Amino acid sequence: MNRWRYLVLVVTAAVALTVSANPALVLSQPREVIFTNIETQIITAIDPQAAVDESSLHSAINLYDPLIYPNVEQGTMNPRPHIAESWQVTPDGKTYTFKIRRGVKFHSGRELTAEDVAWSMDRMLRTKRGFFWVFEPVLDAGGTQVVDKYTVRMRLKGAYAPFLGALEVFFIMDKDLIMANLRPGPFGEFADYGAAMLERQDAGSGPFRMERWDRATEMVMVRFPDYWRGWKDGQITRVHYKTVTEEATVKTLLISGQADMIPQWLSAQSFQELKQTPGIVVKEDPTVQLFHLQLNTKKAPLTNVKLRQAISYAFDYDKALQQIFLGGAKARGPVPVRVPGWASNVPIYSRNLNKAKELLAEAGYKPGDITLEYVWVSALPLERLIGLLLQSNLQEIGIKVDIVGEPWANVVARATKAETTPHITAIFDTLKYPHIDSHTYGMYHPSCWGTFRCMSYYENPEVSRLLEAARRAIDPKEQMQRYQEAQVLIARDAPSIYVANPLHRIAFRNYVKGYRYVGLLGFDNNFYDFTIVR
Amino acid sequence: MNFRIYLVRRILHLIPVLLGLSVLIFVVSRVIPGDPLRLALGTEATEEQVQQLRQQTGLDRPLVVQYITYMAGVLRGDFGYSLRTHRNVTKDLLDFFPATLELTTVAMGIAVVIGMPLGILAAVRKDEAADHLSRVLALIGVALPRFWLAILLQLAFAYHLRLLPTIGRGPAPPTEITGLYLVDSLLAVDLQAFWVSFKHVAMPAFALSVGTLAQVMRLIRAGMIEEMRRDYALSARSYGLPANLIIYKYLLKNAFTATLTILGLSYGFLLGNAFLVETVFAWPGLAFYGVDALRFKDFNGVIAVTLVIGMTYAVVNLITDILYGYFDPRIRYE
Repeated sequence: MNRWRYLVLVVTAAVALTVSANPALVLSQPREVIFTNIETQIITAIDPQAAVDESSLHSAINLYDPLIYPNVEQGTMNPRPHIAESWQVTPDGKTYTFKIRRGVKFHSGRELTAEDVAWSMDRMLRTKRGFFWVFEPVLDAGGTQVVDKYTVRMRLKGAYAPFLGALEVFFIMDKDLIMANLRPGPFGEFADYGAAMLERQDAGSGPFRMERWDRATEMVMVRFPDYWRGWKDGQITRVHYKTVTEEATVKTLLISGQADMIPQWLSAQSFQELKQTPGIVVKEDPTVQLFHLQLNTKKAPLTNVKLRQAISYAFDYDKALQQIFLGGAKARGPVPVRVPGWASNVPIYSRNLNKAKELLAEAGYKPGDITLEYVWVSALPLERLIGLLLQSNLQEIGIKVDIVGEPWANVVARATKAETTPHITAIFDTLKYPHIDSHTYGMYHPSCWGTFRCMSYYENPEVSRLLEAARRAIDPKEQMQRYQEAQVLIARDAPSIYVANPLHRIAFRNYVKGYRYVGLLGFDNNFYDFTIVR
Repeated sequence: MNFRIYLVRRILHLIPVLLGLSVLIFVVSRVIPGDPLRLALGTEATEEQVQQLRQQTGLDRPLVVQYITYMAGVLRGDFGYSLRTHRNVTKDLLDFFPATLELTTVAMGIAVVIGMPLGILAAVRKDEAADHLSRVLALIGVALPRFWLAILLQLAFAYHLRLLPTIGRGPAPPTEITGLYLVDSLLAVDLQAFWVSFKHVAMPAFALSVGTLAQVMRLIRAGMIEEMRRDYALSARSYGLPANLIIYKYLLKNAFTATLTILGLSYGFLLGNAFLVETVFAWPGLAFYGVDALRFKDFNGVIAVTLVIGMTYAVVNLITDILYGYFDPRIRYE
């Protein structure tokens, strides 16, 4: 054996030994980190532009990228760069120009460009599904222009305060992949707009791609190695996203270690129980959700503002929070306290029976004169307990309450007309898009009448004027001032009993790191954020 | 009348039954309060959008026209568009029905395989310990809520003993032919896949079967005791025929007719009532799908589930009627 051959042999042996001693060096494949997430609702669609419920949004967030992203690192929902690495707004607030990040790849391997962004926006506005309604007032299909490969421009019909925040739920889809897989459908040259293809595979650029989807039971997502944000050790490589509706089963799966994370929809009692279980973390955060009892201001006798105020003073808020919600913050007006723009000077009602009786007399009613219908969503027993509390509270000032449980479909149907809307309806209302506009304009401007969010049928010309001005305002300070003034007027008129900003609770095994509550529906479960540290 | 004519007549009888069922469920699904289109479009949809979808789905047309259009589709194998899953209901049925069919069939199998020997034992050992024990078991089986038993089974066999999986149907066998995992794995001669599928179905099927099992046990016992008192049984015994021969060849066959009726009825009952068990075990079945469709007022989903369950029920009862002839030759096809 000559000297060179001997040298090669020695080096090869040395490399082989080193490699066998340190497997990390041979692993071009990452360490397999499997994560099992349980959800109680089925994923109804993996088309991100049809997603409005939590589980469908979970799939959208993990399979696709939105144009911009909530600033979760700083604990806010304010927009930060994501696929759009920067943007400019013209002084009149009508034109937004976005610079698209270079080198972002779809799961098909093709680069994401401005063309995909413009096409995706048009698709959403044409198919009229998902969150299209946030954009529809100011943007038409065709209103998004491709300036160059990495620049896209959106021209609005008018300045629109919630626009930028709403882009956090605008997901970009792979135009070429979808156009190559069209099937007959109702959208003219766009046929089915990819609906059939999106049964089988995703068309996204997100951190995970869909491997398998068995409706009603499980979606398996695997890491997309070319994800533009890169990967580090300990991040999840494979997600088993399972649907289990029975609460006892969900708890068993977490306690036995067959699941790593369970959803927020379990009862407060179950979370109390899980808190006592070793190895499990129950994380509680004040939410950007409002639980309120909407008072139908167009239905006698609740047309009388003093009567509405009397009812608001009669309700026992503390008991509701301590004994029914088992925690959470008392709501202070229509806007959840954590939402930027919440007005600290909003009138707050607390239980004061004398004041309630005074106001009832001023309203011209005597005890025994009034009977009100309270409707609760029959799938939510907590709302029934709130109804019983309200019944007992109002009995003390001589108002009778009839408690009626209705399925959600009926509540939505009854909300379409003021005459069919109950006197009082219990509603959980989560921020629909990351802007204060959701809980002001979205609930108290007459344009929303007919939906469950506006069952108070509130109308105050001064409030409407303020909210319209706020939406149009270009200066952020002026904008917030208008929203705050509106909040004060709304709360004074008592179109709802503002009960609670409930706690958001979620439970996971203690080796799961990186979970943070975002507040924007579904964004908490971006599995890219999680690492497993055992 | 020969068997073939009898069979054709019975099949023809199914047509008015299913037609009546379809009219009933069609009307009921339309008159229950709530607007599915508003739920499907999202709560922010405007009246204009709701009306547009109403037009697209044909829900703005007279009820009779809607029914005829729908049934014409059904005859072509098209159960319409689901407002909940956003795809054709036929695809949903193909996904969900095999799971329920498998669960129910295994549950029936368990009820018969365990219930019959226990019933026979109770009859043979009448008023002895085995009989008393079987009576207690039957009472428990009938009285115990299925979902509660399901949770107890999960805690025992999945959580503590770790013998069986807690939820789900398990992975699909590599070759999917019928959608019934047990059958498909056997067809592919993949015993490992069969074992995995069996482990997944065992607990939910047992939980589902317990009520029927108790009924089978009691009916077999009662039937056997009655048959044992008959003259032919006494004669057989006096001739010195072996006990097992008398029991299994003569008595059981005669005692089984009443049980057969219950099995036919139970099959339909289990199909429609598997919901609680499917919920606890996250079993992706038709009952689970049907209740979800009902919650969201997904008209086409509700009608399709009802028709499929109705059809299966009718077919199973037809098979039961045919089997009467085998167990009791005195029953003629009239």
